[in-house]
Amino acid sequence: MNFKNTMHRIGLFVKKNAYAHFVVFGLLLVVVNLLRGIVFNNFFVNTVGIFLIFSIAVLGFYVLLGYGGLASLGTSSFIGLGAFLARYFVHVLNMPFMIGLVLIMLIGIILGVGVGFISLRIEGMYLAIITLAISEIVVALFRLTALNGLTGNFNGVSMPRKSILFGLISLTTENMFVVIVIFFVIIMALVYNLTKSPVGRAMLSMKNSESAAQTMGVNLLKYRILAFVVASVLAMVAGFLYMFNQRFAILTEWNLNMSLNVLAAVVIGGTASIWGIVGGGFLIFGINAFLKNIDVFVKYPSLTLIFNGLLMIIVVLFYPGGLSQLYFKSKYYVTAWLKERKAKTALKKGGNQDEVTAQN
Amino acid sequence: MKLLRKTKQPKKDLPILNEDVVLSVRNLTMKFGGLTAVNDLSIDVKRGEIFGLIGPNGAGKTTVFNCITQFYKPTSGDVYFQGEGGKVVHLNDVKVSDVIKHGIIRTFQNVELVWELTVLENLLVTHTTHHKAIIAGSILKLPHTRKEEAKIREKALNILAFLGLFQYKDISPYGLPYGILKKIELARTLMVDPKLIILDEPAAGLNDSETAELARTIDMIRSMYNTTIFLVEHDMKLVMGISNTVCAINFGKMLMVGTPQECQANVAVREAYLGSE
Repeated sequence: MNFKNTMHRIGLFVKKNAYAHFVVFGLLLVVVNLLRGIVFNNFFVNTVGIFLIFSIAVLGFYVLLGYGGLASLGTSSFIGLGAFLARYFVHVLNMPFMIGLVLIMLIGIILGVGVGFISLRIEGMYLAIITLAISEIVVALFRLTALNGLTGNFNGVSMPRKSILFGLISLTTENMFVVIVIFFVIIMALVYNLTKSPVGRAMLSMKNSESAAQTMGVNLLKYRILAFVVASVLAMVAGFLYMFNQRFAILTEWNLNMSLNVLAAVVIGGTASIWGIVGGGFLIFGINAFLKNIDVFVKYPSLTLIFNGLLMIIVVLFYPGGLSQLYFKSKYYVTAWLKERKAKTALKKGGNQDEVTAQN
Repeated sequence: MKLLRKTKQPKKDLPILNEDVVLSVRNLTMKFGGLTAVNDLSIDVKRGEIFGLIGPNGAGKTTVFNCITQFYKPTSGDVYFQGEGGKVVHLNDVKVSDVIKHGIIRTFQNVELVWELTVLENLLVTHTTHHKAIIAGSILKLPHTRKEEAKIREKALNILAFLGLFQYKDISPYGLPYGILKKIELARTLMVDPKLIILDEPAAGLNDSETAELARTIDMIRSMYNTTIFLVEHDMKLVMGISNTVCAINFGKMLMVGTPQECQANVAVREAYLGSE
């Protein structure tokens, strides 16, 4: 009895607590990893890993677009920079994993502040174009022969699987998956905190109306810079994990397509809920990776792009709020339907009783 | 970088304002290119009064407004604000997002609420400025931030209850009647313990009964919160009904300032509104 009671209380806690949701999600993913080779094949688990990595960048973009109201088309170059620097710091310069990560985050902060400053002068679509230009410049710089040690130019760079975390855990494929899951859950919780805080509210008011936000004491420059810093740091972290997971990166991968995919994930996910964003990330990065293995899609690679495009058109046309809107709407309809059914049955019973009393 | 360079202006000696003056606009002129929207306007707003600014369309009311709240930096002239304890602030030197820190807050003609937030959270938006290290505190959900959050939440709930909005606290303001939205904006101004509330055409878009309700609410706020209200309004019934002092302007120049009765009797005001013979 006591045991049942405690279980019930734990259940309630998990149901109510948002952080518990994140942890449960993480644990489920770890279980998936444990069942690698038994229930799920290697390909499936690796695809989930890639989806998680890119979802970290998507979470950053969610803060930027969904809360800051700012658009960027340069995400891919940040992810790419993170990936190349990860190899350079850890493999070439022989730094420990954690120090490399901290350095990369610092660089992300500096770059984010830079783009944030630009964003105060240029707005909307023009800002997106500027970020696209910045990203093209970064990619052009990657091509320089002087930077061949960093990017390997058209050959790409690879990294042997020898890193050891904290001198204890060797980063095998299986362990790396767990590391990714841990990163993902922590980042999800932090982003959730940010969006549900005074800072999140200030950003939303800035997105809604700049003049109103200023009246409420929101310093536009500060919050724009913050939005860009969050987006660029998370993109660089995603790149960092990508390098450790894939052990290979090539600069042609970090193109406009990738940036658009990140944008699409946020649009399709909808900004009402963090789970919508994860869903959007899965639809774009997870499903795409699976599709790439289907024969038709192997034959015509551009079909995946068409798939993404169609998905986006459908969402923008019918569900501007994205997956989260779809979820909340269907939940609303289901509860309304259940209520109605309940009311109807109650009415039936009541009606019968009335008849009975009338007969008597 | 242009952003980093601060415009250096010699600091003005602050004048000593009369004890009962809360806002003093002196020789305010605002030019947009060749157009002079406000021309050498001087007004004093006394503590605790409801001050109405009226004028026909294009008279420059909104420009005066924006000069006070620092959305526009005046071409010339000064705006002084006297807080509690006789501390005078030269508002021209204050950043637009810092004006709220001095207890000056405005509302908007077309309600500016955040639809993605609930009514209660809309009130909390004003809270951003109130403590330091808010970013780290928010991301890591530090105890200090949580405590602050609980405190202002309670304050917001009290204000909502005071204005009879408690039932709406957990829903989005989207789709609520206009009268309620205006009230939510008023509730938001109360979050900062305002010394001066500036209302931009609060009655615009309201029907007669909503306007009457609004007048009651404004008066109630003034007496309960011991604050000063600066009102820009088209609705004469509202202005004449609740203002202590009315100032009429036309083409950026002051026509008269006085009690509502004086204003109604003034020939120049009548001519500005109805045209001269």
